Amino acid sequence: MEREYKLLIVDDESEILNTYKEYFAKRDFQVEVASNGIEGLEKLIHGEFDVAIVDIQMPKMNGIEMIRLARKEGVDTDMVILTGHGDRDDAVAAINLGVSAWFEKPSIEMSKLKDKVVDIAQVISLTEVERILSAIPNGEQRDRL
Amino acid sequence: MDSKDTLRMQIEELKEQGRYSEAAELLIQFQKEYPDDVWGFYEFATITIRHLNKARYGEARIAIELALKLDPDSLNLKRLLFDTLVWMKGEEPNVDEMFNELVDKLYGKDNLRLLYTYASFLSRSKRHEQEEQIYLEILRKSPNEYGAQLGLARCYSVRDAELAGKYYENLWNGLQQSDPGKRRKHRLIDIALRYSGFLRKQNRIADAYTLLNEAESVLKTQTVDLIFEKAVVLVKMGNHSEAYELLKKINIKRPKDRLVLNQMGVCLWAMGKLDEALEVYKRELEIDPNSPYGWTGIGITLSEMGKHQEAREIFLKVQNEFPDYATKFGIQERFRELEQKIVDQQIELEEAKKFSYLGKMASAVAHEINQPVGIIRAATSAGLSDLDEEKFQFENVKPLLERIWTQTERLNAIINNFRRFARGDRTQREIVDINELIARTINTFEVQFTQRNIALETNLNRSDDKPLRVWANPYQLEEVLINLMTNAREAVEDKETAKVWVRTNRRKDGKIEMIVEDNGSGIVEEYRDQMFVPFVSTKSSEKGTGLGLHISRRIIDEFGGRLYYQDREGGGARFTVELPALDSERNNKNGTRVQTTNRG
Repeated sequence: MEREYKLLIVDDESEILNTYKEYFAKRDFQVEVASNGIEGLEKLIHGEFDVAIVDIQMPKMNGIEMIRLARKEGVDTDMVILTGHGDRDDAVAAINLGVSAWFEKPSIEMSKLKDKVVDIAQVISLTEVERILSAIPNGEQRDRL
Repeated sequence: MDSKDTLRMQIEELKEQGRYSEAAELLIQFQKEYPDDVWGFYEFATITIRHLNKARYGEARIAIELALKLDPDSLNLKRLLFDTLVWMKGEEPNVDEMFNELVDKLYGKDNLRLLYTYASFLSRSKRHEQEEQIYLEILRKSPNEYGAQLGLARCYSVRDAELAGKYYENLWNGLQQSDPGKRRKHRLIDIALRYSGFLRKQNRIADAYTLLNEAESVLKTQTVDLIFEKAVVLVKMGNHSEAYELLKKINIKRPKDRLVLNQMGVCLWAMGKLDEALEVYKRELEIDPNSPYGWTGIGITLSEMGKHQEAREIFLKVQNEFPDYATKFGIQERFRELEQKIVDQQIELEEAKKFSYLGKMASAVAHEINQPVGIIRAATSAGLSDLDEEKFQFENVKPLLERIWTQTERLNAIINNFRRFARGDRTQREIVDINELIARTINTFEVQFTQRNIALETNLNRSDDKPLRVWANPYQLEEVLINLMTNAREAVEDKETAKVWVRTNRRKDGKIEMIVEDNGSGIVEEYRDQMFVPFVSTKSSEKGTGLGLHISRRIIDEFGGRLYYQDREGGGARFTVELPALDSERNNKNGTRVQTTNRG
């Protein structure tokens, strides 16, 4: 791995947080956790994360709501969501908010989750692409596109 | 002028003015004062028979018989008695005898009148062969007698439909060729109506339709009666919308015509406009509350609307009050079908009921097991990856197993809770602590609220330190709570600041309340009456069976309580379950059913 990715895990189940955190920490991720949507939103706004893994089912503020507010605040961190088994409606709502991937908790495979997270983290974000493109002179840009 | 003449004058005057019942009163006075004067009895009988209620025919008959004692040979009196006996519609052995006596003594018009009266007696006694002979007799004496021609046609239609058909046809064609005149037109209309009615009864609907069109072109005018006949024919032809348009026009001219309303009901019913049909039948019954047609129409419409219980009541009424019509309309058969439907619906209801509470519980359980299964899955998957990637150390084993152990314990509890609910005995009652029951239920269902960002606030009253205990079946009570909570949740699902409250309370009168409220949009006025009726639901069919509130109310009724709706202050719905507190309940119920053993 070229660099240490910064990862935020948001879930109200402490056992989920512990298990996921241990797994990713062992694989050289920098992991932070939040145990509800409000705390998660706070951390997303003030920290720089490559990827956030967000549970949908949470009290106080659920995952969808948290992602929506984060986007409103200009947070462009890539998101992976966790749902219960067959909660397809939640997944659709999340994907409409520009979520990169979704996993069902009861059938999760940690290695696949990790691969996806790495995959997403390596992709340069859209804003970064725009920044690079704007640095290239106009004519050349046209030729390339 | 003596007082007798004065009284007579008074009576004549009242007669002139059409004040017949007053005249009859004075005539009774006259009879008392002058019992030897035939005039008093004769006049009284004539007025009574010609102008007054049928209920007074008996009085008329007595008057005539008294008069006959004074003047035994009076032909007029004998004729009057004959008329009276016929109009009284009783079984009178004297009628034949009197006819034979009178027929030879009366001539001309009087003779014809007697023959007609006798024919109507024979008709009512269903002695149609003799009736037929009388009409032939009239026609022999006066070949153009229209009444006798019609009478003959009616007799033929009883005896020989083919003959009657030909006879009507002859009458119809003959009349068309007869000399023009006012009577001709009236008779053409009359015969067209009768002929069409005959054809309808013979099920020759197309012929009736052709005849009426012919009548229209011959007469060049329309009468309300002919339009109505056409509408009836159209109904028989199954052309209900065209018939309905005609009937609507007639109804404007004759708003009080029961038959028109009835046919309108039939059309609306056939066009599937059941609500409107019901309205029209109700209007028919306003005009004649004893119309078996109207009641039957309502019964059939209700049955088609799926309101089986209500339809059953109506059919029972028709069977009891109009047994002849019940046979004619095949009500008995409809009733049997309906009973079967009610039984089927009951079975369906029971099935759906079972499905309803198990379904709700199952979906709650499915959600709840996501968490522990997700944790076990993640922990084992992480452990396996660690092993593969040689990141696993021996000291990792114990915390991993402990993690799994804890989650299986959690799964066990969830499954036990479901089994307890699904298999629970729903027949026995026991002491139930309402607050404990709510806490337990909310434990299972909370997830469904938090997941959807719905705030769930519980406020369980413990102020007086006495537990809120009721005498009920805990599983059924739990079912009611689940129903109310599910309804509340679904009512606020798309709202931004959605909130549901569950509260309990001991009221001053000792009753115990369990209240479920939400800040949704509440229940609209017109739906309030219906919401406790089975299979009525405002929700999409995938969400609701329309049974929840019906079942809940039945359960609470059985526990001697009440379940009712109110608007929540500040907007939203509020459902209150009101139950007798255990102490008062014990006094009310028979002691043997009380049991204190814990069945939990």
